[in-house]
Amino acid sequence: MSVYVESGIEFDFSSARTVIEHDKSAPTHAGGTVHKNSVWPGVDFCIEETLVGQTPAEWIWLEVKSWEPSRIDPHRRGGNRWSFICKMKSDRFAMEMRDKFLGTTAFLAWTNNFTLAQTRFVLLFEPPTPMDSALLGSRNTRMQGRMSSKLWVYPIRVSVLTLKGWNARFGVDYPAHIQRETI
Amino acid sequence: MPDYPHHQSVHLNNFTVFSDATLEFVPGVNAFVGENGTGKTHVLKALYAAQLTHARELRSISETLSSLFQTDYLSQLVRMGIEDAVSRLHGFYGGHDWQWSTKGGTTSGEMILSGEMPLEKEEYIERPVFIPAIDMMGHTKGFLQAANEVRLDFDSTCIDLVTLLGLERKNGNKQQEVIDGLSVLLGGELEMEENSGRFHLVTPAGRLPMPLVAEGLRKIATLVRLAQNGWLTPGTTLFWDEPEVNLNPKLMDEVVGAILVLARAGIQVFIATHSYVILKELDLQAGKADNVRYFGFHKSEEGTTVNHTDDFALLEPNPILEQYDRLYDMELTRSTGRNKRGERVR
Repeated sequence: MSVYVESGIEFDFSSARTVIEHDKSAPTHAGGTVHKNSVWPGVDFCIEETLVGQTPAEWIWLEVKSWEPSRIDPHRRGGNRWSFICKMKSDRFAMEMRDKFLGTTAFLAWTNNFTLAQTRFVLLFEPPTPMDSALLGSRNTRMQGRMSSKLWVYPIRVSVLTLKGWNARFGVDYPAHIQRETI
Repeated sequence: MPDYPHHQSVHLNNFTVFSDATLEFVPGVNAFVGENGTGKTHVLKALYAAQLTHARELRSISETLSSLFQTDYLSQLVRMGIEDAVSRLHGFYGGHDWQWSTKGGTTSGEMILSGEMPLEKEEYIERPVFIPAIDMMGHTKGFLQAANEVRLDFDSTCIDLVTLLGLERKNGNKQQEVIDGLSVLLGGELEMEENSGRFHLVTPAGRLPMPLVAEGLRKIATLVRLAQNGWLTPGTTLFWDEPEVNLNPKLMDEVVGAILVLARAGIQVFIATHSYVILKELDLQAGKADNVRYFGFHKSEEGTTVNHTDDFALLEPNPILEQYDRLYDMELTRSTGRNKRGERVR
């Protein structure tokens, strides 16, 4: 079982063909391919999907953010919520995600690991308070607009998902859950 | 804040699209949400008719309802399919109840008042204000004269609104906070030509006749004018049908802000809306001390049913959010390559 933890969310990527985790200077997981990157900004995971008879395979590039309140000290939850609001409403946040995507592209090309394939960029986050689909959808559209690039042969598909949404779409292959810890 | 009289509840029995529904209101903001044809505007008009009839000491609520619904016969207000049944309204306003009923197949409707309104000499009922979905601010010139001459195909909310726009209420309480906030959006002052009744927007660049002003801004001008001439006075009721019509979403935060200011000043507000932005603004801007209630109207074979909640996130049914859910689901199916059951799609 290939279990990875990012921002307090635990993922089981056992079904993936390859998992690249490369914005960690010292990965602690067992298994998977270890790539270190401390130069470029990068996404948290690149997951090569195991699709029988399909060449090239499809990739999911996953960035994880969590403002899940149960993991935050009660005294700091207000600030946590404010940080979330500031991030989600700002265009700068969308640009930051774009930089991570481009950084990963550059890193993979530099290390000869880049494969031209359909890539789906997923921003997975847990908001401090519930968000409805109108708010999630508008963030999705904003991010999609920022990710357009004529240099890519395949369209870059962007999905903004909560953990619940991730498990609905990807949970069969890559289940995820919040890692409970005592504060 | 003094405890002003307000609509507390209404029970609708075989009335238009309702079979048997009871709505309990808050003194602050009451927001109606539902698909087209679920009767949101009908409830606004029924409450408006009851209050207006008493405030102006009109002959009967039947007459008011008839002019509001533009019916040939009041029996047309009986729920379709059971034309021989009795249609009833029973409401509570300021601690007093009011009733109205009519029978299918007849040409008249009876209103029975139980209790006297007002009961005490010092009690009186404020004239309510109804802003219909269609713009009237740009069509005031000669409108009232025409309405007196011929029977115009406008319901009486339009005529009432044009009347109020042109009149100054004696001892009315100007809502300065609303005027100041919304006048910035207008970018000028409102001016009415006494002879013709036409409004102009006077800006630093010139004097613009109201028909040339953008319709969204005319909606805001309507509210500013009513706040200026004292009709939005504490104790009255504002009924606003689809405030979002013609408004750019960018302007909606100020409009919702103004609605909350009015509610805090003691004006009970009823809105019927199809706008997510209006509702979400209301949800986000309302403080803990504000009274906001959301009503979900749902069409069924037995007539419209109505649920209510004080928490927008819990509103069921919420057809507006259901459409956003559908769009977000389609977006994610395209972008993740999987549907919401996790199945791969091409």
